Amino acid sequence: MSSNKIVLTSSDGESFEVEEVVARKLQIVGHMLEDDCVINEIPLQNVTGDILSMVIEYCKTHVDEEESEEAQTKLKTWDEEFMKKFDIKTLLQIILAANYLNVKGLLDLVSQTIADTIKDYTPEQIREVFGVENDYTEEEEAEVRKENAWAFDEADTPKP
Amino acid sequence: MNKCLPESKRRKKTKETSHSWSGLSLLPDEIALRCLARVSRFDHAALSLVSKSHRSLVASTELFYLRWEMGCTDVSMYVCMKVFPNPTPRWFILTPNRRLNPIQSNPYQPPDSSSFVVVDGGIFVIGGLIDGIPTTDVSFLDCYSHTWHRVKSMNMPRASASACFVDGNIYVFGGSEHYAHDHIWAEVFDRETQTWAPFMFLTHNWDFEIPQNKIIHQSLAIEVKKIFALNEKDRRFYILPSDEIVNTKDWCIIDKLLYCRGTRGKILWCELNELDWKEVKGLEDLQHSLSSSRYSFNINKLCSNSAGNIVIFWIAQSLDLWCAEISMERCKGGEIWGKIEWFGVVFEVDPFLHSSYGFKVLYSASVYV
Repeated sequence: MSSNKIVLTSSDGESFEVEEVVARKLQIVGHMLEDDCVINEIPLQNVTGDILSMVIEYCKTHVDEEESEEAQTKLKTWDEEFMKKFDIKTLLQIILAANYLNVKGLLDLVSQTIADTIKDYTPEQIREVFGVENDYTEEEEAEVRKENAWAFDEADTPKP
Repeated sequence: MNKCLPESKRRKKTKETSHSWSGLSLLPDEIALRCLARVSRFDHAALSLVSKSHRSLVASTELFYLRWEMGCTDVSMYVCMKVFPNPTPRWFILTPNRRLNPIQSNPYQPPDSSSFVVVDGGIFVIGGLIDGIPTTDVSFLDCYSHTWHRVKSMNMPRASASACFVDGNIYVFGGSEHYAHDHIWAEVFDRETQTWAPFMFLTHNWDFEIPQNKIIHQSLAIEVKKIFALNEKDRRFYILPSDEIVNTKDWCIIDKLLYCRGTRGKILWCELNELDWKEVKGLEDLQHSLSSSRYSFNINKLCSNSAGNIVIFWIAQSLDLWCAEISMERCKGGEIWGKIEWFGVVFEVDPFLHSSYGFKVLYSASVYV
């Protein structure tokens, strides 16, 4: 097995030297390598260095995905711990990068983490966590709440 | 304005509140939808209220299809019941906090004797009695949008018919007084073409003598190529070779055992080929605690849910509607023991609305959406 090194450069000029097997986890890189096998430096326009380093960390860990149950459990635990490091804003940056670099496993992992964050939150909590401004008028909000009344517990409904 | 969340979760907040950065709508729709597909429909409702852009994300039809594609559908329990004195059946969804919340009622639903069939994404309401007369009406509850739709009427008016969903088709048996012609005894609805056609049921080789009155109220599937049909009058099952056919009223099949509602809160079970009914053990405490000299505990409705557990509804002495989920386990001696997973009030009577006349649960089923 050759340990060919590839240099990945972020939009803000940070360079990361990684093994080819790791770089290939980024499918965007994989495709470039297939098209022309003599590249050893790849500029990645849409991702900054700090985010790219997280993606590389994920790819390094997932480089040999073993089938055994034990290995899978270990990876899963690592994934969970890895996700705990980031706030929502960073997670949104990572998911954008995972999409651009085409790292399916990471895309799935982050979208599940974001989904889990939303779980069981009230609209107010989601606004707060995700930094969203409420652009409904009071009447509009009441209308939408009525439409979705089936999903809210009695305690959620404002008393008339 | 608080959902019933564990304290720890409620306190989980970020410090990031100083400026707005528009949340999920920051992401390209394609990615935002991949996140939302993994979120339950109850949380979609909360998301709709977050902002206009979040609402339109949640409302997109792509999200509906993506959830199926990604295998991210959730399952919810729906309940159709009468809340007396109102004779019109109403529809409810069981929330994660185990309360029955109303959804839109079926504007087309006959007050009595309709049959129900669950399919992926919704429930069909078939036939029934309007002013005591059987109807051909069929309607459909889209459980994703909670909207009701009229469906092509059956060829024959039917009430208390036996209905089931097999391989994309809905089969409806009996429920009609006009038995003169075999070809109208059963009919089948093709969901693809949205058409009803007579189901030539009797051309198959039955291995039993056809009951003379042909009033078969239940048909239950056990294995492919076999229908077990139940004649309620003589409480006997008849087996005929055919496709797999399922119906659930107050019967359900879990792990090839048949369960039904007994009296005084008992749940009975039997082997499909024996029909020797025995009592499910382990529920005595529940039965005793709910019965008193003045009040006897009776199950109002029994059904199974997506987890393969039995769900029962009953009206407590307080007149509130209670529900319990019970898992079944077969012990070495061959007995079936029930374990109560949870139980509690799911719907309360409103003393101010004089609705203390009770409930009648007509139907309850888990639906994947």
